[in-house]
Amino acid sequence: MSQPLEGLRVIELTTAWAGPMAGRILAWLGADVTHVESPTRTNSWRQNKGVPSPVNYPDLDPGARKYDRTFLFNSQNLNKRSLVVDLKTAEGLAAMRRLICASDVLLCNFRGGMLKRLGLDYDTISRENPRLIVVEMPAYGLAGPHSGYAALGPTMEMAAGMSAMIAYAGGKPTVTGPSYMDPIGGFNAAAAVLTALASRQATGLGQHVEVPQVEAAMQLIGPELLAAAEQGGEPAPNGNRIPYACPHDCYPAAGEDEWIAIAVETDAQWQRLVQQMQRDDLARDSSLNQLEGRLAAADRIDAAIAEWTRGQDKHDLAERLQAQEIPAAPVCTPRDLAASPYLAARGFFSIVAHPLAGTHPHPGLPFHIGPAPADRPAPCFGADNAHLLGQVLGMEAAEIGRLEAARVIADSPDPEA
Amino acid sequence: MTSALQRFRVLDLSESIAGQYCCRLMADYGATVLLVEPPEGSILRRKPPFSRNGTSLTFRHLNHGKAIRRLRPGPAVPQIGALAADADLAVVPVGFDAAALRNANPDCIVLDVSTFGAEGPYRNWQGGEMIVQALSGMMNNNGEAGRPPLFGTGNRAAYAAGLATYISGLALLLARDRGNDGRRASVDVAETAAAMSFPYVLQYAYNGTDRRRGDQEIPAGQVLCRGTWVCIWVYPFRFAAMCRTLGLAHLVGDPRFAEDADRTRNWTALFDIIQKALADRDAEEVVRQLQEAQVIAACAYRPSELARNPHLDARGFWEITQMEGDEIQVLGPPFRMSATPRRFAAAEPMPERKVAG
Repeated sequence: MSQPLEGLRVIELTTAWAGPMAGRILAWLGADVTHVESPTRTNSWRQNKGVPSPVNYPDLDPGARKYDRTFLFNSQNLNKRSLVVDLKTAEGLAAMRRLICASDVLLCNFRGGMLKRLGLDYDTISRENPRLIVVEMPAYGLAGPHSGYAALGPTMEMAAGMSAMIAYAGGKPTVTGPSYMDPIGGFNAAAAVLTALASRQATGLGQHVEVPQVEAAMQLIGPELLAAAEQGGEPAPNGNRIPYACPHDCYPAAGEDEWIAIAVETDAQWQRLVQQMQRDDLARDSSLNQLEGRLAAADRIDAAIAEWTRGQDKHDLAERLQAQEIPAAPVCTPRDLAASPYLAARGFFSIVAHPLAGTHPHPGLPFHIGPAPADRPAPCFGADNAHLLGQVLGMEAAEIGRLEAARVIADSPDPEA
Repeated sequence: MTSALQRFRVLDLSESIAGQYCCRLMADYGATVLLVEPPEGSILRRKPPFSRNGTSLTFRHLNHGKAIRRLRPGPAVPQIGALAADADLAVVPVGFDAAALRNANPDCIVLDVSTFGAEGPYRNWQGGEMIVQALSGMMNNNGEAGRPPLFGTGNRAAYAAGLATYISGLALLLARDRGNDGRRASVDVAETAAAMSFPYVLQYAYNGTDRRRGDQEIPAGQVLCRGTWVCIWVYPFRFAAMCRTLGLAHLVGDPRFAEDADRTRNWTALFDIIQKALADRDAEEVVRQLQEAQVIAACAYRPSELARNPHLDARGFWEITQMEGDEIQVLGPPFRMSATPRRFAAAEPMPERKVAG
């Protein structure tokens, strides 16, 4: 079957993770997605600034074109084209404007106001291209007292109310890994594009869509926010413990920094767990038969489980507990993910050959809507300049050469750009 | 003005957070959605947290805007088949016998949603958010080095899987209207969680190195301002601006904080000083001043602080709608569409509606 978004052109003015992930989803669905950068301002995930950290590159080697070899950029820009054009030049801006007029979707994840400043905003472009859909992803929205605030994934997680619910007992609010808001923003922006496309299919008209990333992410903790709105009260996070299940934590396993997560959600699961632990004393302790009693004794229970799990293989133990219908899982490292039988069976990884970074298994997306063509690697910096200016905009080769010489377009970034 | 998805009819048989959230979004943007409950009521009606009157706030959050019908006791297949006759799309749980749907309406798109998939080695596994976060790779990166990993909060992976289901469903609906014959998709919560994990698995594939929590050097710290935590992001080129803004200009010349590497070494001392200076300052004002000086900062809001929040209020974030005879408060839309905004169906009774007992 043809891909759902085949024939649609998407222009992506984004950086880092959230915006590129949205574009990556659209590209995976068959859209022709162009990631736009400037010779003077690269996508931060190309890591063109500063001294390269070897862990980001194939074989720990940044190579001659480090900005084409980092795992960060190369993970989020599969199946796209790269256009590198300097929007600070009149000719670069004019080319960009023509390209947007010839496109279906403009996806933008820079601070609100940038498109307007460049004259690339929806109101201006839609006069020429009324079918255009413009999706912007401002952290706090385009209006309101905080709309001008700059944000990053971790600060958005704090503003969304999530961090206050994640902490060790008595500790500071915590953010999830390097960032959890970016993939959430990526999913939300892709959903916004598809919704606007569905509308356009009926009306023939595009529109402007604002994805305020903080508000969109608040949906994911909606019930907790509604409870606070109705009843007040403050969360008192305590590590992995939750009020609805006990025990509910991760416990040390064999090896350094290896853990197993165990979640007992029912009284029957508790009985099966203590049976596995061969702890008749706990099985017979009637004060632990029900959730309330177990919550009161959580410290004692967790200590007993940790004593039992310590020294056991996290994978084997999780299999054994799941076989007894007790929710458990190894806390997986990247190495574990690469070897995961579940992800392998799901076809999560695809082998991608990148001309400058080599051939590696790449993590995928959770969409299974029929056979998909093989993934194409993330584009090298400026790799599709000639295609876009020549094939799409109809420029002559000599003209493209002149723009290249003037660095209006480029296939290498300025140093530290 | 029409709604974006007005022409679509959707059956929600999913009995899961992911499935019901997907269908809630479809209702938000104008689809006619019928939530079909088993005779005893949806399992999500028993999911905490609960409102003062005992209603599940999870169920409420996931299902406002839908018509709701309970199946009668007895065989479900004929009842569902009848409902499916004019459906464009149905979201079903793992193991659901889709034959009745297909017989009634071969053109109906069917989306399967589950935690671990209908096939594969974990098809019999069970578990909620912490279990999928453990498997995803994210949990391993979350928390402090030397302490247990943290799973996060709530059911974020399940909601994100709802977004993935929504995207899959809309992609198939768009494709169907263009003559495509794809009618099936499946989404796993566990795979969605893995796709949301920071892509360290590609770093491992690139060079065999492995990152753990605490390995990231994030140039940020937190201080408590009159009971509210404020996060301050100190990029090297904004250090001086931050110091001046906070009335700590003397730190700029302090040899402990002279260069980036010095600050990294003395990070705790730096934030001890900032904490002392800001303990009695208003959090919102501190953030406003820092942002004005182009220093990224944010309050770590508690949920109750979001319930009464000047920024959200100015944006009209909290809204009121009707559900099962009650006036309820709901969150603002995840995205705001200029031509086809989310609109709640007027409070007129929906034809399919049946109030839960």
